[in-house]
Amino acid sequence: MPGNLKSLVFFSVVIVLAAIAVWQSYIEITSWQVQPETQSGESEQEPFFHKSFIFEQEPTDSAHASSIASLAGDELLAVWYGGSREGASDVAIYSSRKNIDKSGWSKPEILIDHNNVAEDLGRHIKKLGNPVLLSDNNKTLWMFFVSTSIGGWSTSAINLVISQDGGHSWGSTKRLVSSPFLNLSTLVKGRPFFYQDGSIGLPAYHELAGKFAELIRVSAGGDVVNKVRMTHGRYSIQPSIVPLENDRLLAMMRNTNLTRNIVRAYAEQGGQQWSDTEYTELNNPDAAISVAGNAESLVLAYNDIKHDRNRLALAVSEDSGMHWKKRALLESSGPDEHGQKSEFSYPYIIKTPDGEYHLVYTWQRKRIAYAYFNQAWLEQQQ
Amino acid sequence: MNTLMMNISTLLIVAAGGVFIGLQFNRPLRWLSVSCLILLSVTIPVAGSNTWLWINGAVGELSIVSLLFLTGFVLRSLVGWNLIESQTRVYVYFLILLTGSMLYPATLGLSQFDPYSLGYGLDLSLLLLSLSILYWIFKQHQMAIILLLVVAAGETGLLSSLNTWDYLVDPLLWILSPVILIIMFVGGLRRSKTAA
Repeated sequence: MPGNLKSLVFFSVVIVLAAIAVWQSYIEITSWQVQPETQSGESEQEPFFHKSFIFEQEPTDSAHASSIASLAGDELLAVWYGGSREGASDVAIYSSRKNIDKSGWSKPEILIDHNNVAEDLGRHIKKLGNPVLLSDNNKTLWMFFVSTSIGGWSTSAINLVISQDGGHSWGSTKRLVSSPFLNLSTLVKGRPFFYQDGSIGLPAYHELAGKFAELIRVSAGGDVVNKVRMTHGRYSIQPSIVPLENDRLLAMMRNTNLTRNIVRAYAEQGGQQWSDTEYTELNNPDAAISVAGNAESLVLAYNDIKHDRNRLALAVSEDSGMHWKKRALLESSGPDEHGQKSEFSYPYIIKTPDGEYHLVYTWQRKRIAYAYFNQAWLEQQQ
Repeated sequence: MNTLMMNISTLLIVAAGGVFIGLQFNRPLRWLSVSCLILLSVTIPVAGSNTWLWINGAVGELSIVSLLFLTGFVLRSLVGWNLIESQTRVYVYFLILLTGSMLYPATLGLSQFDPYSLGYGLDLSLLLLSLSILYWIFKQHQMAIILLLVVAAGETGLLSSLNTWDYLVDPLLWILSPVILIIMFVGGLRRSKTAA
């Protein structure tokens, strides 16, 4: 091919690719507006608080890291991972459902195990963990969870399965690519939220070299379309994010350093820019936390001590998370007769559109506990 | 498509391993070495699955540059086709070494800034296209075409990632690039001594 013709072809391809790149960026994210969580108003209700277990008869020796979502028809779906022990090859993600008005959860069923994931992805999968649910309060559900192929949890990658029928059946697993280093070390724990364009804000964290929080923007179909680093350093992980007002976000985070206080950060513009982290007055033994609500009424579930996970409490804030008051102690227990320490951990709390709170958490690493209460009950707990 | 690209990556890794083992032999034996290694990879069990699936799990998809270079290495050794000129390879390895040294430590948390996030936007694609034009102007046509292929693959979503960095560089290529540059440098020195 003559040199001039070669150059003509080359520059034509460059122009076409530049045009495609500009077009792609134009049709991708144009807005960081957060979708407000629908609240039908808190009705005048009598205070109530119920606590139970999702299952009395353990389907597995170990159960941990639960998540819950509300569905259409006043249904709730809870998921967690369970097996002979954390990280064992028999660990699977289990699910159970209940109608809010009826007592009792359905018998736990395996939603997905590492063989299903390996088959879907065509790759070796060693273990699964940390499922988190997001519901459109109708029939569509997204479940993000982590998996590892080699190494420990810090080598995790995030996966997604989507259900279009309220969690009765699920599509095949999709692996999210969120890190350039062999896609290693992105984990989830906090509740995702929606942007107005239907995409999802997924709180995530990294813990391979640094330990820091990230906000991953995922399209409704499950592609990572953007990512923002929320914090830096080696101490702030497992962000729990709540949309406040005017596309402002609050993130409360587990703190892995020795100060043993929960850290927080705020974002403007839907999470594009994050403030520096601040230590709160809330104690925490380097354990997961969860926050739900809105700017005027936030509820935080957390272990309220600097060491061990043998107490689980609720704190409330009425000023967008600046100041917190401890309101209720849900669990407190010393070691058992064998000297084994008690553990009540990994809370996950949601506020349903009718203003009620649903909380799930790990109970002694054996069961998943469930608490259900309203604002009136919280206000009674002084 | 994603599973296909992951399996192509694994095929090229295994094939390159076979070529490497058979380097001191003639071509038919290299073919044999590659075939044996592919066969072994799907039969030898590792961690409850086979070696092929384990490599899929551990590595996933390689970047476009890695795929081109591995293809070039395998073709050069097995059929004698010199797909990528030696000078272009040196330029690309330098580019990858530089890029990876900036990208990976920062992404793993050693800096406050996360350069990986730039790969989701327009900036990196336009930067690579500009570089490609520069290389073309300076008559480095292969280099220009490689960068063009990276952008083209990124814009068409050939891999499962939507981030352009993942099309340009991967950790295996980054880690191997200084080693290969040293080998090429030492090989060049030896050749020039022999010629002298």
